[in-house]
Amino acid sequence: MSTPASLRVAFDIGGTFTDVVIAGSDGQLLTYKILTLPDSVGADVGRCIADAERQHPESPVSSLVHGTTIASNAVLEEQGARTGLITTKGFRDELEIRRLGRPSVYNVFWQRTPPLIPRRRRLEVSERMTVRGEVETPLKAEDVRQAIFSLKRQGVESIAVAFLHSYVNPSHERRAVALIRELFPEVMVCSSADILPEVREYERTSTTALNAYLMPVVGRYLDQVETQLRAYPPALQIMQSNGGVMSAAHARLRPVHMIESGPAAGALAAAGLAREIGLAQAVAFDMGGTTAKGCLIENGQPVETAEGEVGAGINRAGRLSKGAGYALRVPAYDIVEVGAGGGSLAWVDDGGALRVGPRSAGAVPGPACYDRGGTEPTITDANVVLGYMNPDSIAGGTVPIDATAAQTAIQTRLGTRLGLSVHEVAFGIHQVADATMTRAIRAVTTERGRDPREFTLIAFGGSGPVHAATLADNLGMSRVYIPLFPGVFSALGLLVADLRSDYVQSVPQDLDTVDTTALLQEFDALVARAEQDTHNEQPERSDLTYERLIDLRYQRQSSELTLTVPAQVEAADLRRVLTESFHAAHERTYGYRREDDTIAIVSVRLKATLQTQSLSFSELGGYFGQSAKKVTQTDSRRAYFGPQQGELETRILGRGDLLEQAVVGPLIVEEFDTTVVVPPQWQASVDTYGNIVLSKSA
Amino acid sequence: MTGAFDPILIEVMKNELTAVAEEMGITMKRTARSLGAKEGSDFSTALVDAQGRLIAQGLTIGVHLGYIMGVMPWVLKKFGDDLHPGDVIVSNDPYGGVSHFPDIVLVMPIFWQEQLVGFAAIVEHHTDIGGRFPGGMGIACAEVYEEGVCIPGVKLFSKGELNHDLVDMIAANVRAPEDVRGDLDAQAAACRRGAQGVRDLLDRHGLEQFAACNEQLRQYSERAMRACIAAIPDGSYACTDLFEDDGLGGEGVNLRLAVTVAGESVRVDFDGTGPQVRSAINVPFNLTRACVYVAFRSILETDAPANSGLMAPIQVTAPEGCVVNPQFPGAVGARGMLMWRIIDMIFAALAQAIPDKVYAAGEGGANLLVYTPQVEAGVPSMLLDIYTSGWGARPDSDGVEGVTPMAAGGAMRSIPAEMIERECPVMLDGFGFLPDTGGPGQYRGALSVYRKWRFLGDGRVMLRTCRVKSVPYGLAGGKDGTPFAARLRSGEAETQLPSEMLIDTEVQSGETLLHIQPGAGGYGDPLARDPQLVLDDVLDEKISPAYAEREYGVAIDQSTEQVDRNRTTQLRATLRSELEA
Repeated sequence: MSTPASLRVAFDIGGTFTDVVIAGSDGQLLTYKILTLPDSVGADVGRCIADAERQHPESPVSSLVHGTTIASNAVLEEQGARTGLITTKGFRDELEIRRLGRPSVYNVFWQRTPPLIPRRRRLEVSERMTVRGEVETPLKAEDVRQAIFSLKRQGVESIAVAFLHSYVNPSHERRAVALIRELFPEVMVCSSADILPEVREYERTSTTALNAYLMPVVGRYLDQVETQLRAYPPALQIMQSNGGVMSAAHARLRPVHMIESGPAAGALAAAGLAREIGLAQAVAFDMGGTTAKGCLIENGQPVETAEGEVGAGINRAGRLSKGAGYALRVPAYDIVEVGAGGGSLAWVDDGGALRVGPRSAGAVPGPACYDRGGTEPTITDANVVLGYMNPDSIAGGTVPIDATAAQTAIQTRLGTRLGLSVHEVAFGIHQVADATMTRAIRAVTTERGRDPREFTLIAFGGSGPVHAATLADNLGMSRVYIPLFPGVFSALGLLVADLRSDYVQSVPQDLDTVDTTALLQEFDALVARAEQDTHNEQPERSDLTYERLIDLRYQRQSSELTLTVPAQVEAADLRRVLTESFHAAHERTYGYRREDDTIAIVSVRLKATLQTQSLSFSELGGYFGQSAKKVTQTDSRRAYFGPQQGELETRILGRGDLLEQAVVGPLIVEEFDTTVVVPPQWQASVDTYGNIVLSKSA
Repeated sequence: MTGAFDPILIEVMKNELTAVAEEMGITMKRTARSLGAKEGSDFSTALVDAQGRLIAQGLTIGVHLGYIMGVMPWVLKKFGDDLHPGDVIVSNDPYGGVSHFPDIVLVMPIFWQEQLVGFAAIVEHHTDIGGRFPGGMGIACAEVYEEGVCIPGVKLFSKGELNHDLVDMIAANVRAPEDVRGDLDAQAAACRRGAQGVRDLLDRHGLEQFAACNEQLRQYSERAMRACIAAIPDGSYACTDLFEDDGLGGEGVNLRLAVTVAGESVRVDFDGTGPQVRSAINVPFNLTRACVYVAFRSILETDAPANSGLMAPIQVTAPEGCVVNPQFPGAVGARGMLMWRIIDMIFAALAQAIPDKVYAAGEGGANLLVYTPQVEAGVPSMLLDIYTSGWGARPDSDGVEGVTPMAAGGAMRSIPAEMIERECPVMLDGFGFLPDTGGPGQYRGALSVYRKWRFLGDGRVMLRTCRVKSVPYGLAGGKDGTPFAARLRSGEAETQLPSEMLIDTEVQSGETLLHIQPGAGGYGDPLARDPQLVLDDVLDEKISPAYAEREYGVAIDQSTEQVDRNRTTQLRATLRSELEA
């Protein structure tokens, strides 16, 4: 490679482990797995960088990309800031009523998730814009002051401002924000016209409230990470839910875009792998310390959604039946997450049933077997007791394992109560966890009308490969790929993510009458903004690429179709080109066209992308093939595969041992950052990309 | 796989069919023109087999299930050997299986390898259908002839060719022709999407496997419903109610039903229900039956697919000529209020058998406003605005506030103010909770949700409230909910509108209308309510401190914002002795 030597650093923080991947310019990857200690994430990553610098002298750090679950965890665990809402008179209850929505369940005992902001902190002020953005009732500053004082008295850290029709005229919101900054300078504030300048008050208010709820938490967190990494000059970049990265400065203001940050990175990496090896249909399955996630990958791309919800637990309902959580309108991959990770706690419910998750032991105290003070049994403890995970240490020996502590936790907390042996309980935990994760995979396959048996499972995350084969069995899937670096695979996604910024400008005009020269100038203005932003953040880059998009619909429809505006089109041709392509797109999408109907423009959009260096999985695989140590270990240990198979003597191999031969289970492949369990009836081999391929024996 | 039960294939097929039905719904929502469809989701989609039996349903309004099943026998009878690829049949005939004129059903036969394999169907509640009253839901009609355009099951498309004359004919007779034209387009597009989805499924699975799966899914749902019914103790559980009035301000209508459970089957009969009336509140029998299905679907705990198997163990009968089985040409446009009451009654009857699954009364069903502004020339932009309030309290928790009724299914949504204001000369001045409403109880009934409009043009308003005289009832010592109110404000003058299920009034530009929906009933003794929950309600301004003392005997110390334990004990003792005296 002709580029100067440099190190690209990616780190992905999960509830339990932080994964660090550092790419040198030689294409080699250094990987690290460290326990997530929330107060010292940056410092711990810094130590990994220092180690990489020792191995690559003369290679300065050229980028720092970060994926994190901080935002989604704050929502799920209700750990966001104490937040207030200032809104238009008559509309304080929008956040609670949520358009009267509920999931489509016929359940008399259904409970709605409590609103992020309780009614006492949702305050109304006198003001009103018309639909055309004219001031109908001027903003009553005194009302805003009263609201500010009330919220101050209630100790809020953050305030969301959301007024009706602010997407047309944001002046009242701006005035209210200015008053807040003046009278309550220490509070954080965001306004709906900035966060989501789009029509529909509930969706806009909800997205803005989520943003405000997250700003203090995410801000404190990023401050700390940046401080601890200040020795490295590149600006910190954060993964967004849509698979692109943004600057940390941007993320502080718009944390709502990073809710699916960590999961998006994993999906992006899996999609890259699927693309390169030519898998048309795959499911990315990522099981970490706290949760498991599934994402459908079709034609090499993660499936996207713009109509998300957060805080509803598993998103299993259909696409028209949201209503359980908080509406969130930002572009994101369609990822389903369930509360089952290595650290998920096993417990016995009132009815005497064995349950797993969603509560997690986290990094501290962690599973009982980590011996960091945890006494409650977790999935990881079960996997140690079953003999699946190394009973002495994991993570290349850096995390010692106390198998006795795992046994004791399972025996005392569960075994006695359930009247079962330690093995039986541990296997039960494994099975219950599999069942929960099966639901996540079903939610992205069968519930989207896809047959999982036609898909290949790409399993990663620290615990994913432990469960992959039995999970695949549950779903009737017969092939599983465990990629190289499975425990830190999501972090690989951070290395392949492009810097992506989206710009939008509302243009409420008809296509028939719009001044097409002026319309093209709207794009020019967005390009200028993108260039300015890029120049501020990446002054050395001048290779920004653009995609110009336009949202069109027939008059009075309320959903748009987004079309690409050809790069070279002249103003004189624009109307004809867009008219023809809209009718065609409408017919293609919905099966009919109405050439007599007026076409309305909703907005113009610009997608600005700075491409990053890519990563070649075949190169990584080749590198692995050359360097893999074929130790042909002779180790074995006893592992329990259920009441029918019982405890079996099970070989322990390394990935390199599978390069030249397929090995039949039972088998355990131990790696630095994970353990691959190959049950009886399954066999394992390694392909040219370095993937372990598990296939069900006929 | 005719014989063997393949649990994975069944699960996949179930979800594939549902996904197709949902995609029909997405097509509808994205391409429709009326606010009710594109924002409110007041439509339902379904797939039907070649024999006319329901095999899958998209997300829907609960009772819509009944229309599709109701219309299929008519379609098969009339067009049995005259169905061709590209045909679409349209009907809104209440005496031909549908409900009331504004609900228009489209049914498209699906052909695969030149065989009829099933139908894609969609029903939508349209903005207007002509007739004497805007919205087609006026109460003061005696015969369907007054209620608008009847579309008696005719071809909207023949072999793919749109019958433009028919559409022009319909459009010329309605007050919202653009909505109706655009939505018919969208409905047809949804049907085509459904048909294509089913053909794709058949390409993959073949007809034999498809049919076998559908049969197994039907049996699966039937087993689930039979198990649900078997869990109800055998016996006959009756419920009677006196419905508000006959729709013309006369006497209340006697309603009676008996739910008779025998093993795995149930019969619901309406013997003893009063005769059909000379107003439009009559409920077509087809819809009466749907109410029963919806109620039983609500108590079914498993997530069984909505197909004809679900209905197999349920038999519904009603005497001919009674208000829930009216005879042609009795008017039915305003059937909504009584329809919701029937569902409440089935729950009340079941409460005798399974009290732990039944909750106090909610607002009584979907309420609505139809606003028709006068326009000098051209077409008025009508508003059809449908909304609800909240649930009655449950045996273990408060009623959910600001939500669609249990029996409405999960798809319905309120229309955003910002969308209403784009399209109609009206401003929404508020949509929220009214403090100190709902029924007190150990668990509180949902607060009343109010909605307030300001009209920007002279016009006519129809305002519907399902429970007007009968306030939502409480249960197990919980108090009844609170009554509805409607107030029209003109400048400083405020008029209380009459207590009528359907208010029909002129409005002037600049006037505001406030609709306070009924607050839901409470459950259990209010004096047994956890004082901490009362405090939370006070701090959230859901109830006032005075109300907390009066209804719950809970005193709040305003300075510390804590419960005053001593005064609470005293207050509760006093209130209890007053009750016992």
